[in-house]
Amino acid sequence: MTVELAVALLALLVALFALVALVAVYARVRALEAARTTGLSGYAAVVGRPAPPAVRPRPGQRAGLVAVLDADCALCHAVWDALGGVADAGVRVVALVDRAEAFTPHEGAELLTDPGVWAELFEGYTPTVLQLDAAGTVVQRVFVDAEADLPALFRIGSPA
Amino acid sequence: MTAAMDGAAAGTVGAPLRTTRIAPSGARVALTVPEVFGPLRWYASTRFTGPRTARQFFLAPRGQYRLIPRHVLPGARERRVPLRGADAVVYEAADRSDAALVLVGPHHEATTWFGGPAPTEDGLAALLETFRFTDDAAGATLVPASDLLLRQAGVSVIGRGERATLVARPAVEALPTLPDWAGLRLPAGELWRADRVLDAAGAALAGGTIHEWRYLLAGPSAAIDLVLHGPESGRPPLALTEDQLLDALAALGAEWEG
Repeated sequence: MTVELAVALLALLVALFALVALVAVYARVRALEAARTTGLSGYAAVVGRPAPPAVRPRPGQRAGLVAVLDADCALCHAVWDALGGVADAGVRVVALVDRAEAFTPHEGAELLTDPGVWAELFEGYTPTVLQLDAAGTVVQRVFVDAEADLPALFRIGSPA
Repeated sequence: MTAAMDGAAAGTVGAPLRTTRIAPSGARVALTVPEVFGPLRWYASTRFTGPRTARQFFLAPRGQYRLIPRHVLPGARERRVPLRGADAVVYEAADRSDAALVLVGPHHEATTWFGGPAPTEDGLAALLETFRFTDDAAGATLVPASDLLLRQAGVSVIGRGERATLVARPAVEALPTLPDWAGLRLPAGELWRADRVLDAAGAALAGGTIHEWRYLLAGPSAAIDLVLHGPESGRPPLALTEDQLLDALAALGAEWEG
């Protein structure tokens, strides 16, 4: 083997090592980027963001209550019945449901079936109750369980 | 298991209860627990290690975190960060000597302790970006956001009740802790019994009874560590003879899928 050939092979080896290192660094940077943009659950948080326009309080109203309900969940029907008792003209009360026909209509509370809005507000659990401020920003979210005090939950400004 | 064995076990130790839990790693764990060991509440545990992280999480049914500011860190400061599908709640002791982060989902919660002051807001954000937490009625999943950054280990599913505590682990992780000698062959795997760590008073109360031992059952995909609570735990002894206990253990089983 000549000296020139040995130097050329060595240079090739160094170039190959540099390429492998570059690919490893690239993979690691991509992994860090992926971790940064998707957050804990892989989705952006609902609280602190504007709710979809379809459920925001109307002009003149000071707050909104949005309940994400599932027709097949017994507790969801209890939440819907309790929402009927809110009776506050300053608060828009909306129940976001999968099947409106499964719920008995109430005065003062709206039933809304909209897969797009559902996808934006559903957090993997029903029933969930969201409180909105006058501008329609979600200020609070509560996963409702059987022990929840529903009237207290629907009081605007109540702690989570 | 043969039908005859099923019948024998059911006669003395009650029908086996079958349940499927989701381990923190996302694996499905199919468990069969004889009724005699009582109803169990399900917990879990997992550990993460990486270049700049070493953290242990304990998973429990949702609601227990409320005890932290009342009993564990009285007067603790609370910081709540709403996330999609969960809340991150940070408690910091008034004297900043300890702090805890709890990921609270609709069904379960995952808690880790810092042993010092709580992380800053940026530190917390970085920590939260490191994990994925997904809650389900059958168990919560807590995994690293990237396998390149963190390694998950020490995954266990824990059942705890009045009469017994069992810890199920994947067989791969349990293998180094198994005895070198052969155990008793049972339908779900091999069975060994091992000493329990008890103080002198506890050892005196449990001595000569089935409560003197812990029971280790290793199957093809999972291993179960079982402790029966008796007088050493301030509870009445389980009214089981050794043969009846063997029937119950023959009905015990776990399959770790994933």
